[in-house]
Amino acid sequence: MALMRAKKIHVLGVDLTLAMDARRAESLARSPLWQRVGKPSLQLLRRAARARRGGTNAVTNSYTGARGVDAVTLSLTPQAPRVRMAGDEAQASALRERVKRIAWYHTIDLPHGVTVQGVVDYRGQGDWHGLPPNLAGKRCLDVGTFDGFWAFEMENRGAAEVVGLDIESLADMDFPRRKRAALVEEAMQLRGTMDVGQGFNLAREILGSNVQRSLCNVYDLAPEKVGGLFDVVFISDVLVHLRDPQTAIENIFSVMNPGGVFLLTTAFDPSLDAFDAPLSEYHGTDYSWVWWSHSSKSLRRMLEVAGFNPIEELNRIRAANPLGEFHKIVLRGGVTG
Amino acid sequence: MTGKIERRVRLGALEVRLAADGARAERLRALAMPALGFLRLRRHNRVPGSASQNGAVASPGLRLPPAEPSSGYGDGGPKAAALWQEVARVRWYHTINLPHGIVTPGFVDRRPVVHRYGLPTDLGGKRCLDVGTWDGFWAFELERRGAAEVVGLDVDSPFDLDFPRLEKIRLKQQGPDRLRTAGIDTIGAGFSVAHAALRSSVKRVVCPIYEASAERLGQFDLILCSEVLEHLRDPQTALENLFSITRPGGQVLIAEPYNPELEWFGRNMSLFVGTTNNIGVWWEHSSRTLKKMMQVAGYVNVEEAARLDMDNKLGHFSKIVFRGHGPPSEPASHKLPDANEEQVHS
Repeated sequence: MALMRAKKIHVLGVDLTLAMDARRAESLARSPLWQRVGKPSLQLLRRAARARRGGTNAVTNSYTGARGVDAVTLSLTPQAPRVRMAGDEAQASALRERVKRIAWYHTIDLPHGVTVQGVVDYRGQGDWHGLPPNLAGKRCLDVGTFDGFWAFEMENRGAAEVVGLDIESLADMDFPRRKRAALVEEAMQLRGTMDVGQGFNLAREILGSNVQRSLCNVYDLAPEKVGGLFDVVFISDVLVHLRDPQTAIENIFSVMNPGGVFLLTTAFDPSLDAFDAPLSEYHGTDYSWVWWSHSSKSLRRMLEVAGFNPIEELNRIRAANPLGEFHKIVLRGGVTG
Repeated sequence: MTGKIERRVRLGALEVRLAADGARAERLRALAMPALGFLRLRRHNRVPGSASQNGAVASPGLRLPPAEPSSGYGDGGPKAAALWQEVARVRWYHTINLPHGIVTPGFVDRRPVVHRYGLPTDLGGKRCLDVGTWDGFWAFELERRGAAEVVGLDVDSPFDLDFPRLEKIRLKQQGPDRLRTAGIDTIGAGFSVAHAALRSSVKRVVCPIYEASAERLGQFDLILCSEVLEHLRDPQTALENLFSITRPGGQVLIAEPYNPELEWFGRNMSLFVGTTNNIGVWWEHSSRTLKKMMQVAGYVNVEEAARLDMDNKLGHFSKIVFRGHGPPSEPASHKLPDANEEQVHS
């Protein structure tokens, strides 16, 4: 019955789990004996084992060069820069003028050698986020598309149709009712505008893209709002900003085609995975408009309750953006039947 | 075919679990036979059935046991017998004292702890709300304490309860029998029997808490919300709605089960159950999470009124009562904060 702290080790094909009453484990971890003897020797063992396996499995991640330890499969093939055509310098500077006026969230490569600098740079990370290399014939949905980086990425991978779901203004975000005015003010100061569609519209025009931007809160998402079902639904960096992630995930399940794939990337708290229960920490938008940090166990259970099956973890990484360092996880949910 | 082996050994405070499949298990068995024999001798040390509990504390829920025949028909008079006829038809959630010595055979009995919830002894002139009234125990208690008006908020249809969408579809497919075994087929039946027997003037209003607003319900001096939030996926919106119907100068009592295993973290921890324990519990919160959610909703001076160890027929659980205060009372011209704003759940 007690909450347990559990550590799973895979030795010689056997799953060995060491579990201890969480509170007891916590006081043990704080004890001088563990700090001076137990922990250092364990680290030594771990380092030795890693050396024997051959080198380190740490990889560098292009978020900001943060080191991620567990993301062995991260492939960082930067997108080939678009071919610069001769005599497009005039077009390029005209484009730069237009781009300048917008507060970009995504870093996106535009034609004429122009790259807009956003808050986050996901270029070349489509595979790491679980996107299949070939989306030919697929109908795809990008939830919380913002400047549309992921929607354009799915289009580049050959999707038959891509819909980018978004809200009209940052004021439509899931803020606490009592703090709404203050947070809207904060957002205004941070970005200078509440509009979230300017970047998307410009990029779509310049890229000659066919992605459809659909204005609909994820809490209201339903097949009739987005013209039917999807084969691939992608959501990244949205979930922690929702007070009620379960309803969002259920709504996403309701727009999935049988056999479809749901790709969820979100910040999470791996330290909570040490416990033998699906834990989440409530923040109530104290910082960065974050409602919760979930353990991967909570996230998995939310997908399970919504009906996804099977649920697999594809990747996890320690990442950083200008707001700070955090951990990210990629989960894939299937739809059977 | 050799299957998976799974072993669980307790070594003092440490629990060691071992799992391996097929051929690996077979080799391991051959290698470790003597050790396994030793472990088998120690089998009595194994922790029974702790695999799937996830540290969950038993919480009160919606799966109710069948009504048990009461020890007697109250005072034995003809009126008692007539009332018992009606009482016996209902599956009771609350244990309520009715006239003629009849006591409803409830799933929970809150009578011994009524005095510990921090309810004002005299509610004279107050407009009060009991959220999730079910059989009405707390609403009748508020009325007994002299409230000018008591409203009991509840739902009628089991499909207005906050279940996972797939679970609702399943409930619809499985039909009335499934609803009956879950004890949610006749919500409000107990209330109407008790209401009539007590000649109560409590008003039962059907409105899911996600839709509660000042326009629909008016505002209240005292709101009691007992064992409701744990059954909601989104307690934050519920608390925001409650705040919008708390009168300036009014207060709220949030009486909720909490998970004592989460208290020592010193962080706002919650355990996501996701109703997978079959009794409709979405979250087990720590007391810190509940307090923080009340503050985020707008309540000020949130204070702990009581911590209680309680029982229902599923077992033992811990409960906390928080008292929160609504907006400060000011002249009537004062605009209530955001009472008209749109809700997250449409």
